[in-house]
Amino acid sequence: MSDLLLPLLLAVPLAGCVALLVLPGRTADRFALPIGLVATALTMAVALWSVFAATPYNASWVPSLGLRVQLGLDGISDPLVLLTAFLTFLCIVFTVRVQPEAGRVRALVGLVLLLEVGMLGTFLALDLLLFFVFFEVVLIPMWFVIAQWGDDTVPGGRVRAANTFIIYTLLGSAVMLLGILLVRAKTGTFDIAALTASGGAGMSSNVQVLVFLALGLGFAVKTPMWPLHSWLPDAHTAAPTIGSVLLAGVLLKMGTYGLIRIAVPVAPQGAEVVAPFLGAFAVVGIVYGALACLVQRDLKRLIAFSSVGHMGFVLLGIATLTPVGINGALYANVAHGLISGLLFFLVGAIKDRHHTSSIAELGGGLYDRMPRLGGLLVFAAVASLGLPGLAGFWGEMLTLLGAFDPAPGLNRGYYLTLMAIAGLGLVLTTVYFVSLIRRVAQGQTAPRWQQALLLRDATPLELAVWAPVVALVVVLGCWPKLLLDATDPAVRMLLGG
Amino acid sequence: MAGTQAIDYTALAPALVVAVTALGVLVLDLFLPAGRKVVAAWAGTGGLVVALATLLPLVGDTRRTFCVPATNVDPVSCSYVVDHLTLVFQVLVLAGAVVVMLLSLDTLRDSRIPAGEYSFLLLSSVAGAVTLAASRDILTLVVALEVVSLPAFALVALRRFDSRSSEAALKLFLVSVVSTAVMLFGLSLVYGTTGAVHLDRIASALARSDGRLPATVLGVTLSLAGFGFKVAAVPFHFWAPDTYSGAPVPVAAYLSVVSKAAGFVGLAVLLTRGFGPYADVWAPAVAVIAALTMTVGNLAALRQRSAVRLLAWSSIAQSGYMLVPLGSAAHGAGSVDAVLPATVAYVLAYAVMNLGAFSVVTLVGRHRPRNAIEDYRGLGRTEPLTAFALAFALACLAGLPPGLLGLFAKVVVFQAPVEQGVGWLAVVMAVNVVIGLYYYLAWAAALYARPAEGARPPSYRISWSDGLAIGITLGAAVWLSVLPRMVLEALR
Amino acid sequence: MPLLMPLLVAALLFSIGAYGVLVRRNAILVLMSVELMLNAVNLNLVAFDVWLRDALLSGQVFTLFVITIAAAEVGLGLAIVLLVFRNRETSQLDLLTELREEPSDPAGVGTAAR
Repeated sequence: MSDLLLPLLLAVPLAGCVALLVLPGRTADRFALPIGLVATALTMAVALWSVFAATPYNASWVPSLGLRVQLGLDGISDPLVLLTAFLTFLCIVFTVRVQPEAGRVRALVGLVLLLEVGMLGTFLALDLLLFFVFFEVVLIPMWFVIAQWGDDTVPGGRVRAANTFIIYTLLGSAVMLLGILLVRAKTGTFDIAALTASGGAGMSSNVQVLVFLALGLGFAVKTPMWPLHSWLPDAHTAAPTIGSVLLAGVLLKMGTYGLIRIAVPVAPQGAEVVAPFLGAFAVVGIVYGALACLVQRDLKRLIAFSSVGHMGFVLLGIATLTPVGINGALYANVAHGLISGLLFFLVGAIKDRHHTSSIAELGGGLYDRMPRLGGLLVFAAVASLGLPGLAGFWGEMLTLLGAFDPAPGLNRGYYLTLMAIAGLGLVLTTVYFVSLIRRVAQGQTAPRWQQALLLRDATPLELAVWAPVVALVVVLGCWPKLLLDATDPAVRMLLGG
Repeated sequence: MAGTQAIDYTALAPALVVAVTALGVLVLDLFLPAGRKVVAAWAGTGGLVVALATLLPLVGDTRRTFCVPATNVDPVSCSYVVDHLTLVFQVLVLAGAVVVMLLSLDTLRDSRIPAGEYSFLLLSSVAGAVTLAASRDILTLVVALEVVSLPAFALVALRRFDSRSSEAALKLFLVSVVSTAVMLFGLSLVYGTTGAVHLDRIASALARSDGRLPATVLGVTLSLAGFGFKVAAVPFHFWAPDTYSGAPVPVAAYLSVVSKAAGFVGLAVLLTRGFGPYADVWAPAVAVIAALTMTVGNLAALRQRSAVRLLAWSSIAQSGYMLVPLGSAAHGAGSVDAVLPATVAYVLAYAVMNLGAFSVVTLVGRHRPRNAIEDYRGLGRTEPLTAFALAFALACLAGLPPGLLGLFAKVVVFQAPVEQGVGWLAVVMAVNVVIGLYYYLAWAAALYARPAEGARPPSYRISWSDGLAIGITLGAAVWLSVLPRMVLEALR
Repeated sequence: MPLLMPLLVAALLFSIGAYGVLVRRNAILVLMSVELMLNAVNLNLVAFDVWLRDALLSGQVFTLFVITIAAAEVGLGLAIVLLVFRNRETSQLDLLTELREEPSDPAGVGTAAR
């Protein structure tokens, strides 16, 4: 029974999606949200159960391709699976009260459920080709979410933002597929566990570099790594609130998860050669993200660029190739998922109320007119910049610690430089977030908002959605052992002890 | 030489049934009253189904017929061989033809196309395709290829009072005869240098020769021309968009799926059974052609606003993908056998996906003669099942979930150049897949977009034959997406 | 007669035919050029058959088939040319442009078929 838990985890949201597709129009429209709620709540329950009780699942699907349905959970994927199920549930709950302007809730819920299948599948897959299939599953639903429910304030419109997102990601995925097939051609298997255990046997050093580059390119576009990040700001800004939450909270994690789970263990020699470059790009991303944030005039776009910076930290942690660094990367992953998710929820709420997300138009005084929302925004901003005591701190600290003492084959002086520049990026991050708080939350309310009587503060439902996230951010900030105990053993096994 | 050849009629049954049905339909047409000519088409469809049934006894062993006795150099060689490859393609051709006939029923009812002649021509072409799959000597190959092509010219021209139809038919005809002539010249050179017309004897003669005779190289290269035209590969591709636009849409569907599959099986048979030892000569040429074909097809499709033209350019690009495994067979006869299953798998998957797309396009074309992409806007709200069928087919063609059939087919095709070491071809194909996504996605997005202001929302009355065609193709695509073994392991 | 002579003549005929196909504007003249190419093939096949002393006479048999195919093609081709001429009053290939993607047609749709 316990080995059926993981297929069940994927089957529940899929069943919800199919139910919405198959039920006749009127019934489906009325029951869309209840079905969505039940499906996501059930998924969360099964996810919790699986984290503790699931055993790996292994079945044959397409023998001629060598594709097997191999699903499994370990310390690296546990937190991500829980994060995914949790955030998706929150998104559906959020949609109960905050209906999208474009309507068609049934289609939106169906697409979100399909997204959930893809996201969970990516974290559960232990077969390279299966991983690729699930990696691709999220593309079309996300495209539709951005293109049909997004807003047009982005230059070029929401369809163009969606197109950029999908074309970039697919190009990365196509290259990733070539890498995967190259691994199979040289080693004869798609099995991730077997490949991790063999540690790159069967592939010469040059081939490993090629494999790491191919796989890494696909993951780098998803992460996103500078300079392949250009799809992110438009996509995040154009997407509806729950789209941005899922994009920032989960989709970005798929790229770094892939690097940790697949690229580094399967091609270790390749990783050693490419890691310094990865670190350099990561650090450029951190600084670039921070600098870009300083000049942003749109709130959503600012949060989007801050994601580029945060993922830079994750990449730096991976580039150190040490347990400390990778633990830090995983921590930063989860923290970013929670914090950015919260940020996008809040910014989405602000945008819905003011009908603008331009910082100039919003003016200051958010504390004044909407104290709860303002307070939460400040909390999220402060968590994002890495205040000790909140989740973001540990990710950044462990990453920098990892860079201080990288893996034996890597040039320490080089990494110390990277660490220093990353520290500079940290300072810049603080600058823009504090500046944001000053401009938006503090000060006087602009006259145009003083007249507006329809600006409600956070509703009880919204608070109910956000409170668990806030709680988790605090818990993970004060008690890092909770997460590290789960990830550390898995990371050590991945890196070979 | 012995007296008469032994003829295995069971092996010949599918081709015979189709041919007899064709003639029968033509005769039946004489006796049908003017308003009831469509009965001829129904009879034709029935004959195709019977032909499918006659394939059942052939599963299992290889059957050979029309054999010539052994010489002191060569073993017995047969002209008509029914092995696994043959059976797979015969099923594809017959099933595809059934779907095309279903789509044609309403076209025949609504337009002035004579039903009896149409059915006769279609069935004749199918008979040629069925024979082509089983041909193992160059005479049979050429004759079968012509039997597939000649009725197709007439089919395209059958709307006699439409000048676009005749222009399309003329373009198709001229490219076809020229490429046939070039191919025949190449085959004559091959015959001259190897001394045999049976493919297995040609292969052993080529293997025995040391060095590469210029005449043979020229012959092998020129022989590709005829099939290059049939599968619409660069530089023989430019007839396709014009012909598909000018012909009735079911005929375009036939050309793009069944006729193309026939071309591919002929090419596969010729290259793998006949020219295997010369793989290092033809494989690089095929690789370059594949790369050019997919790129030209995808780039041209980006600009298309007409549904049929877009599908035409998209089929050209898909032909490029199907040629990739054959272009990867760079290391001699062993690698040729390794890459053939990939091409076969993709041709099968493509047939299902493309027929699915064409079914919906035919349906929309009946109600919106212009058949522009704009005419599909909003179809998702008024005809959800039809729109889903088209969207699923487009997802398969693009190679993204939920179109898993297309995804697996592309993975299989990608494996060929990666495993054989032809990296540049894999990279070109990867880039092309991304370019291709753009126009498939734009079309799928139009399906689910809001209808334009003031436009009539598209709502159609779907006849049972159109519905059945769409249902069959959608069902096959979904089934094969979940259980792709039948397609991917077809040659086992 | 040495093999080379018929082969040379065939190659010459083929080239003339190919030239005709590429250069000629009239559909019927293109057809004639294709016939020239096909006859070059026939010459090739018969020459090779005699030179190889083929026991199956496959070259000559092939030639018979090619002649038949050529006849069928010509029959069908002339019928199509006649149809075009009846609909368009011309058989000049460069004047047949109705199906092309017109730059003046902004939708790129042209006149699609039903």
